[in-house]
Amino acid sequence: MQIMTKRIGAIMLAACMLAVLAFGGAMAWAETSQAGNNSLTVQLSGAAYNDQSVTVDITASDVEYDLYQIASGEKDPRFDTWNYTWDITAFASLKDQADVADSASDWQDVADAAAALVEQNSIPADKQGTGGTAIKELNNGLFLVIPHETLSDKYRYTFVPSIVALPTKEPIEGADPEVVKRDGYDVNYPVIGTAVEYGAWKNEATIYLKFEVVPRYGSLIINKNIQSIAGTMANWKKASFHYHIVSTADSPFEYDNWASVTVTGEGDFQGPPIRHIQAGTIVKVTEVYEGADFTAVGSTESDAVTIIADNEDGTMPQNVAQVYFTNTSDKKIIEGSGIQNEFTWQDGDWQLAATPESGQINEPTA
Amino acid sequence: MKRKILLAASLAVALVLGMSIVPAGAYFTDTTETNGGVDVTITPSTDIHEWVTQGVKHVVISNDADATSAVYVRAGVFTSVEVDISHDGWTGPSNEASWVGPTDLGWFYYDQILQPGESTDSELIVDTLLRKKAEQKPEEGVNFNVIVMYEATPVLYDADGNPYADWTLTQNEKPAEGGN
Repeated sequence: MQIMTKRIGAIMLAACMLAVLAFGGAMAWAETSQAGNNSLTVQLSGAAYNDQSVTVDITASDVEYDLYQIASGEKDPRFDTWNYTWDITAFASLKDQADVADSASDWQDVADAAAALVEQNSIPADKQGTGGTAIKELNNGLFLVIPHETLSDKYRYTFVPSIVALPTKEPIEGADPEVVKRDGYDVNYPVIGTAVEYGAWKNEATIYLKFEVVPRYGSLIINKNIQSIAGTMANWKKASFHYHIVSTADSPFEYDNWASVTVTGEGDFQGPPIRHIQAGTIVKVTEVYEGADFTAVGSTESDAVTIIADNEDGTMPQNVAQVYFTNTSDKKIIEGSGIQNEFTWQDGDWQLAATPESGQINEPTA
Repeated sequence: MKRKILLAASLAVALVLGMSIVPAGAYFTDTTETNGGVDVTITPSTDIHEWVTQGVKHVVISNDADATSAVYVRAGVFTSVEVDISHDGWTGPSNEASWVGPTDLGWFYYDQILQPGESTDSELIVDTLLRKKAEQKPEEGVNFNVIVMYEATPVLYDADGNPYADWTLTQNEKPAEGGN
């Protein structure tokens, strides 16, 4: 299924601004008004928001991100709030949209618009960071965080851009249990509430990235060696072998499919790759049908193999999972072969792939 | 007792089975007893054909016109998904219409002998139930394979002229059943 990107932003700014407006009091702002006194640390939230069943297999340190200052900040002399000036040319066009933003959804839209400007105008990042490690000496203002898509062996992690205000406020412990904690982690949700729920301004900010996760897929190749066709019938043309591919009991993912390899002589053959198997799946392959006129040499069951994710360009990696089977003629007066059809769900319909052909991969030895 | 083995349908058998009479010259009867077994020059020459319409496979097995023997054929289906198999004219491993794989090599046997130049006039029909599968809202890229395969073996005749098939017969081996 297509993973629908949810627009869940985590922005402290809206909450902070609304909260301090409700409070309406002046606060000392001494050292928090100094430029270059802030730091930002990016962490991961606990689970994918689109699939809670996934066991997250990356850590914050695997995530790289780009950081942009999009507006300057100055402490308001009367109220416990910060005023932002859209004086950074590349992002000045966001002012009108930001001025009326008063919810998490609104600020996510601003973040998305800012990220679009980055892409359209190829704006270089002010700084680049790695999750879990603080970026220091940041000015006061609004910052755009664009995390990079991150790959593990099994999954693709994608993130939405976020806007964070520095300095920042966070809900105090116990102010609202549902807000303070999410998935066991403190989250930078835009809490809309009163100022009493928040602590002081903090120069050290931590945001927790929400992420979407989708599986990666890999391939399997079945190799067939024909030791001899001696004794096959005079008009022998080809033979097909049929395999049952099943995930093992300890596989993290289930899989069950069939595949054929057709041979036309002695030597080594490869069946067409079996594609779109979830990376990390552990499978065994059983040669259920040994081909008319042939018998197995050795085992008809492969060792367990783990599916490796395909390369980003769709090609198979060098260490693609492969299994091997060997057969020789058994001189039966039987002729036969088969046809394999592959049905793939694409663009809302089942597509029938052209019957794939097996290929001979080397010349038989004399 | 020497065993005579007639490979390829004889004219008399054709008449008994009500099949069209093929000129004797198009195939021949071999009574060789090479090493007491089956002559290796008498071999099936067959092929499988299919067409697929909206996920329904229509499978036909043919005996080449220049084949030197009549054959029995049987077919099998390998798949991990639910399919419906219609097999009028074929005797299958189950009388149920639906077939949920994988198969344990259950064969569908074509009820008639194929003479050279003949094809199975009753198709083996495998409906992959694509519409039903679509209703399950599969993920993009999900795929499954359906394999139909066949085997053919020369028609053998016992001493009484009754045709039979020996699916385990190897070259240079005496038939196990039907002869005497």
